[in-house]
Amino acid sequence: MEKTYYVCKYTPLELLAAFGGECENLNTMPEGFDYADEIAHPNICGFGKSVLEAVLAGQVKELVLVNCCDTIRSVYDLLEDSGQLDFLYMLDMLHTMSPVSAETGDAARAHRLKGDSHGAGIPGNAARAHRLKGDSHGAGIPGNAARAHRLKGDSHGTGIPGNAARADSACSRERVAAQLKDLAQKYGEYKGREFDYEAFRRAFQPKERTQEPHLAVLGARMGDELFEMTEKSMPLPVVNETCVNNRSVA
Amino acid sequence: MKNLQVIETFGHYVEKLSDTDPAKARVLLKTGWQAQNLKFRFTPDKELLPADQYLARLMMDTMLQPLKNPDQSVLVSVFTPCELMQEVGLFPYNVESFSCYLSASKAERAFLQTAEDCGISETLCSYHKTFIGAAKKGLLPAPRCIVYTTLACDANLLTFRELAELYGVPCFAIDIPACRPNAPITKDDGMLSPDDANVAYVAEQLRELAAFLEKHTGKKINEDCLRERLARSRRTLANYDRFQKERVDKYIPADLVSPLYCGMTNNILLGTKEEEAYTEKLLADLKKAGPARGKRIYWMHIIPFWSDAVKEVFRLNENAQIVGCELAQVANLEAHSDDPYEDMAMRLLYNALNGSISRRIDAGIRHAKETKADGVVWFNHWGCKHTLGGSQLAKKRFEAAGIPTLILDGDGCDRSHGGEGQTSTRLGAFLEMLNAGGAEVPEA
Repeated sequence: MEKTYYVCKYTPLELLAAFGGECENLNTMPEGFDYADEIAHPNICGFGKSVLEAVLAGQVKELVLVNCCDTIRSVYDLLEDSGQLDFLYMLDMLHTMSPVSAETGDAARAHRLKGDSHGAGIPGNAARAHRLKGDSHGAGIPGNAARAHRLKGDSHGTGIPGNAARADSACSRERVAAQLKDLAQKYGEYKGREFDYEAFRRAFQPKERTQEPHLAVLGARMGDELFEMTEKSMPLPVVNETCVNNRSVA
Repeated sequence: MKNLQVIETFGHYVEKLSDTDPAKARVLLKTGWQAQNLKFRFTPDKELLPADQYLARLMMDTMLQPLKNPDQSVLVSVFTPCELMQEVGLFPYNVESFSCYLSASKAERAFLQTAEDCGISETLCSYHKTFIGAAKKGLLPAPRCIVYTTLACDANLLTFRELAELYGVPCFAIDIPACRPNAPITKDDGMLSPDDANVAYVAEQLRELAAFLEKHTGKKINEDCLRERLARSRRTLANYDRFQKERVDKYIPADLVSPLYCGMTNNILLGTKEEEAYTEKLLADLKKAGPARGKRIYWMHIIPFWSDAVKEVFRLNENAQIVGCELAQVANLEAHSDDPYEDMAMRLLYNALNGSISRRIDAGIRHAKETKADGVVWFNHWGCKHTLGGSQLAKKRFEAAGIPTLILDGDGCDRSHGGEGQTSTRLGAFLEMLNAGGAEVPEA
């Protein structure tokens, strides 16, 4: 059976499993981009070109994408035009947005107008001072892990506590549901299978988390080959907690 | 850039001063731009249409507002519908335009470097980098608030949140779902169309935006006034569409900035009397324009106005001129609702740059044909993955539609990106090919 490949942690793998889909993360690092460069601009992101390369080399026949970024949206357009895939779908997910607090903003503005242009003197503004001194992700500041996570690639911002509010409206729920139902219908038709509720429930497995001393790789994407090299060269076990590898739904 | 010589003189000093005294640098920048604006008023470029002379002043007024009245200004992304902001008395300005002006002032390099020194990736769009760098240096004052959309690129998601934190101002974001390729755009016999969920989703956010603006300005939005403003927006877009169609047998002198200005004002100033007046002036000027001559090029994406190689080929050249820029024609004029929030939602949802690249290409083909363009330039602005990613498909489809197409790599804002030699060679070969009525331009 062909595998259904995915590249984004927001891919509803459990839904695909309900139709008998066997899913695998497409995360290889090709030796070159001979195929990709024939149809894509050489300056698009290397990860996008890796996906193109894998498909055009015939390694992938079923692919589910999510509109993570401009590159993946372009990859979808190019692959759709190529006709190389038996099944191709791109899920259009919401971006959650959280307005910056106006109250915090006013204190910052007052301080700035008095000359402290970095605003470092304001309680809670240590983040900004840290950033302007070079730690642009502010990751060194306690409690700023959420912002660091966002700036390193979690562009949907869902890793930030409290950011779900904007997406949790009746309209947004209806929209997401419509997207998922459309995927379910098309994938089911392609597989020739009906929705299997038990298979769907079984697919929700908690992510195993190591409690032993380890090193974690965070951030955007690290290809399988690079991760293996990292594993071999580190003195402690290495856990891949980059974007798609840090998927947890149960 | 002939029209901005005054600014260039100040640009160098603005860059230097922003290191030591950003407040003084801001004063200098404002003074330089005000001086340039006086030049536009009293000694406009007579080679341009009167409408485009007016546009130059309008654009400069728009860029001066955040420097003169930051507390009455709102920083937006280019496709943000600004009618609501205008109703509460806020002046919108966008990152791309402001960065263009900094670049035209030859002050962009220092700000690009600042952004990169702070950890911003070298591959981020230079418009966003320039603005972020200028903001981090303290050159740009804080706006009253920030309003942006996810249309059309990733850079928005990071830039505006970064700026909101830096400035400590209220920020509102509008999430725009992708437009489906064959989306019906009107209700059919009372039944819900598949797009109703998307329109409702965006319209709901726009209603929240109205509440946000009322809260942060203390002003109430009158829905009748808003409807009137949206009607003005529709008239403006219809005027411009008519101008583009009626110019087919006319020669309209074009520099590099007027089509680009229009790409900005036909978005952020939509709904204002001034922008409607611009389009009315264009139609009036058209009646006096001479017969068409030279090769006509439709330009996709932003125009690198700073490039001497591009100026040499297209600036006020009767033998070759830019007859339109896609950014001025991204709205779908058929999409309309009597509900003002749905109306703005549709303008966002059915924007040509939303969704599959096919929508953008199809709109470009249509507009290029309407202006009887002899060819198209698809400009791959460095860092714009949306445009880079679609370039090969675009060339294939434009040429299948009978429109010779040049894919040109470059940077719209960062002149240190270079490549002038190659730009000159490729543009020259493209025009030569068009003049000879010959075959496809070979790839570089």
